[in-house]
Amino acid sequence: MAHNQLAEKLDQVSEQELGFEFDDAEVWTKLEHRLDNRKAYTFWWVAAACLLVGFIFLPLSILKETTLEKSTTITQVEKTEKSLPGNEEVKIADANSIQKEKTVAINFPGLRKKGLEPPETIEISSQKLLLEPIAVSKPKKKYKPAFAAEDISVIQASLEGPSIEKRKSITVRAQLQSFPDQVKSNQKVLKIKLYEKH
Amino acid sequence: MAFYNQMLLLNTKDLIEKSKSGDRKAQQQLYKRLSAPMMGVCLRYMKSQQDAEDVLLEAFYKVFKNLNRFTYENDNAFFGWVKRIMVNEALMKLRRNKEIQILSINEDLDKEIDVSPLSQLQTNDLLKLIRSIPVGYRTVFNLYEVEGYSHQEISEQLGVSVGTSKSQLFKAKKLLREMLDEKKEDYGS
Repeated sequence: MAHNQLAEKLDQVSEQELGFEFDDAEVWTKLEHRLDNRKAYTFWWVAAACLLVGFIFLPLSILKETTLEKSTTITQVEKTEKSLPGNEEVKIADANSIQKEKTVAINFPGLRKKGLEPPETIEISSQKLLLEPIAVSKPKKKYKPAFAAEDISVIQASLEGPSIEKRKSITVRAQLQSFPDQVKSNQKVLKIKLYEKH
Repeated sequence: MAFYNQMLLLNTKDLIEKSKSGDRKAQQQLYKRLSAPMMGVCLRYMKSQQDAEDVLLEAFYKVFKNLNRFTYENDNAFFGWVKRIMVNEALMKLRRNKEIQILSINEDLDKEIDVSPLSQLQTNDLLKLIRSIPVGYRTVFNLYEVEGYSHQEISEQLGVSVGTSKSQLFKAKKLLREMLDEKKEDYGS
């Protein structure tokens, strides 16, 4: 314990030899209070640490899941052939063609109100919808008009229906085209193109 | 009361084991057994009684906090472990309060000063004598002569050179010897 006489003597000092009245009970009361506080502090520290870990790792795990979902292989999803709601009728014009043209008869009450004759048939180009990974930037396709238009009205609207994938919206661009050189001069063709909205 | 009597009969090892599991009565009993000698350790280093009590409280708190890390071998090892915590805490407080002002002294350090007569003094007189010398001298004297540290260890603990530690010890011994001689003269007359 003590390496010399001096140390031995000093280490074995009794309460009476301290030279003053040492109130060890008072020190113990303070010590006990500190030890009790430590228990309470430990609980709160543990709780706070758990919360902190939760706050750190929860967003990370969510982010990881999202990244995994997005980095999965490209899946091709074909639009299912379903009838449009209401009085709309869809016919496949040429099933063998690459563009998959569809002929659709649609009532457009808005056009009638404007004094325009609704078309008897419309052509919808059916495209395959591709799910692409976000990182890959796909060059935008430019659709050239396949006709020369003189009087063109452009109608823009968003469609949501059973033929469209969930969480996907498609912009419809309709162009009303008139052909003055044709026999039936009052006949007009409305061409509608679907654009996948990004 | 019966519980306290039972605690008094327990040996240090059992008290340590019970204290480790958070038994407050065992901790109190352990504290009671060690408080007086440890207060003596604190008083050797600190200037005032209040500072010594503060160090004692803080050091005992650390003892109970770190008791789980201690593996009991014997009573002396446990006493030494607790004492080391007390000394470290006292040094830390002295450093915090910037009480240790150690100046290098150019004196003949090879000259040996015998302080063995100090051990013949009564414990309270010895404690009083040690506490009466300046903090710097006292700290080095306590660490070297009482705790058994080497000059290298002292220099690391206090952040001074080995030479400074030696010179402080020399000065402390010289001062203590003079005071001791004075005391003897007083008794003689």
